[in-house]
Amino acid sequence: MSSNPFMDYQEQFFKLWNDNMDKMLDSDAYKAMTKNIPGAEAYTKAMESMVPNVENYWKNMAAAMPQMPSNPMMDYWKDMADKMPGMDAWKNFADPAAFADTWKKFADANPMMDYWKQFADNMPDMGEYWKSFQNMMPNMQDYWKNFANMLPGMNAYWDNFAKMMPNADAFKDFAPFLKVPGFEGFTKVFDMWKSFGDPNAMVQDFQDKYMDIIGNVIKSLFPENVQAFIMNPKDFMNMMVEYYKQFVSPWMEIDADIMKRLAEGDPDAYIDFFKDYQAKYAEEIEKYFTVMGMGLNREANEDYMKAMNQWNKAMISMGELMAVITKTAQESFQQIAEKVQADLAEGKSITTFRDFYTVWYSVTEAAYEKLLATDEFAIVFDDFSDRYAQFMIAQNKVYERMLAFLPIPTNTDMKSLYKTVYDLRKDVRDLKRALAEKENKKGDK
Amino acid sequence: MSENIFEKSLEQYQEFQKNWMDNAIALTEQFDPAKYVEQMKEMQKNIVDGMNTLLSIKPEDVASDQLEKEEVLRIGKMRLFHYAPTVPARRQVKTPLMITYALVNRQYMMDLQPDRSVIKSFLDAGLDVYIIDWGYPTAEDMYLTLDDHINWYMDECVDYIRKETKKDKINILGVCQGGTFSTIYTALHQEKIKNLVTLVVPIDFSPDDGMLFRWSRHMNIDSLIEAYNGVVPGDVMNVAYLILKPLTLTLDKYIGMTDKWADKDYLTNFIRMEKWTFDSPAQVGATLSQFIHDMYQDNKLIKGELELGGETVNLKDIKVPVLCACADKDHLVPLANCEPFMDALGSKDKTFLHFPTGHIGMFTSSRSRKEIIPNIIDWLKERSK
Repeated sequence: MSSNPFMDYQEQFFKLWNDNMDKMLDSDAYKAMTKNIPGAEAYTKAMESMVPNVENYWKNMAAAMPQMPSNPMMDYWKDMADKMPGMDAWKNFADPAAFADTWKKFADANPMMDYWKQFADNMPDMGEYWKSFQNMMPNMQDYWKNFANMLPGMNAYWDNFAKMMPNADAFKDFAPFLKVPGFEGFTKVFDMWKSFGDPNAMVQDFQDKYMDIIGNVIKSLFPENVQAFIMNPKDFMNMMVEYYKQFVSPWMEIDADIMKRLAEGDPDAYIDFFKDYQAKYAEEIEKYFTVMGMGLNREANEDYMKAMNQWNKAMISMGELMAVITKTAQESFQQIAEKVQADLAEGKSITTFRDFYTVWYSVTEAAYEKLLATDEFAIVFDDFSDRYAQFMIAQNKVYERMLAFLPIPTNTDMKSLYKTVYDLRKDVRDLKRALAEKENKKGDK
Repeated sequence: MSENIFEKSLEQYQEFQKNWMDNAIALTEQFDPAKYVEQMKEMQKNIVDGMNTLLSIKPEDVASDQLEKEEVLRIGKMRLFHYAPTVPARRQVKTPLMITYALVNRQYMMDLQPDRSVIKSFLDAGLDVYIIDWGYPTAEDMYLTLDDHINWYMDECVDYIRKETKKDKINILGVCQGGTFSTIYTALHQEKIKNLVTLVVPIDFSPDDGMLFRWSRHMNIDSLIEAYNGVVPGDVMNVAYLILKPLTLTLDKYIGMTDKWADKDYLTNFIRMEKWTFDSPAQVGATLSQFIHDMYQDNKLIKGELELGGETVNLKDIKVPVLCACADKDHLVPLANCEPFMDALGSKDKTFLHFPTGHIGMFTSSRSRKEIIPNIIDWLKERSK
């Protein structure tokens, strides 16, 4: 359980869903309700296949986002969701009559029902695809386990080396005192250096820590709301890929070749994955978020859906940006290895932390300078900035609507006032200038 | 999923692992515990000494903008200051000088610290110095345009100085974006300007070696401005500058600092510079939008297509003497964005200088004090008689 209200809510919601979805799908009430809906059978099948995965998804999500701050928008959604009549439906599975009644109220009150119906109509049977993917996963786990077991042990040497390290931790202790974001990165470089004495730990640890440092530097350059997602660029990318696999894939299929390359660990595959994801999202998913609303709360619902849509788009775009950054990180990681090898071949020794830091810094900065100077980066970076800005605009609109009934002026009110003041100031300036000109002319006479 | 993928993946990983193993073993063989322990001891002593120095520094030690000056004009958040002269009236240069800084960051870069003050050098040389402080814009300023900044605020400052000093023409010195403003102002109000000095000023926005130029090309600035309700916070701009050299500016700068931070003078200067670097006013939406569209994206100034207050800005109209000084290692405004100004303007008396330093080094380096500022002073004095 995280300390974040949104995560708590999501966990509770999906626990409830997990506990009850099987019962619901098997209930007479559900069967009666869906009997005459075309495509409902395929929808039900897909829902059934998702049930066991939902829990894993949220576990992964929770593991990847423990630092996610409480966000007013998320709290708002939580509040909205709590008030939706349909939410109670899930609690009434044991009583089919009560369930049907609550569900009917939900359907009557919520224009989104049309969306769900359309969804069900269009639902392809994705069960087979998903099953084959699931079948792959245990093999992958075994593969990595076996690999870890293959590594030879060099523990005796490392034990001696590690005993010397506590002294160096003083350096780490003072870093937080300075409150400089980059300094955290430095202490992580130091952690990475510790592994140098132990080839056994190094291969795995070095990769992880290296990405962690890059993530630390990159994180400090992003808007605060987004920072929590970027503990490690690779984590974020994997989280987005997992999200796709768990939730989106039944409705939207990424190119099989890209998925194959992803499994092979091709760094370009991540970039292609997010490009494809973005295109497919625009083509196949976005329309559900921009569906025309109905009823009294039409505009509010549309604004709310728009904000969600923009958030999704910003996150997919951030995935592509992270993929580009991660690819460079992986390449520079390899370059560091090559540089170290070349230095050693030339007889240059790397025997202190500072020697190592200098190699790490110079190679990595050069790699990033090269990346940042490319059009590819400029386009991806600007795309993310724009999409995140679009999310902020949509979010601000939702906030304004929430605040509209309070006796305080909103931004729209203030902008109107600022414009009036601005125009008046210019009028005063023009009048002053005209007056001065008149006085000058008088003086000339 | 075929078995081949796993085999290929395993092969790649094994190759990778072998490389690292080779390196690690080589490093292990070279590892010198005695040297390592010695380095750790030095590091810890340095930490203790540095922390003691840091704790001894007080806010007044890192103050900037300390030269005596008087606020002589205020329009909205903008203020015009006049510096108290440091030489007798008979030694003063007759033509007053107005300095226009960029809207990003603060004008006190020109008077950062007593021993690194460009303004003090100017005053000691007898220049009569005024400076525009654009202030910290807030939401109420969101509608101010480029035209307002140049044809309203700057023009009123120039008129005030002309009236106060009883001079028809004044000297104008623009820094970075403030230099672009000064150039536009000179093109439109030549009758009020005697000499124009531009320091690290972008005029031709088409060369995109500088990353700000490249990124701005694709940027949807209007969505960013709307997202921040009309006024973009200074920290958003700061992040853009940090990304230009991500590891250097967020990490290595501080690592380098710890090498010398036991030295109080060094650490005081470092913190003072940190304070200035992150003292960034918000950017007014209407002006930022026009600047990005017209300059970075459409390069209208050098093409003679920029419209301001109903007039077309033509650089060929500039006939007054111009000094254009740039920095060879400027990653914010590379030489390629400054130098084409020389061919674009109409002046016969034009001087182009460039120095082997960076954007900020033009004002704070020892080269600045010894070479750059004296050159500017000599050039101005010669043409202000």
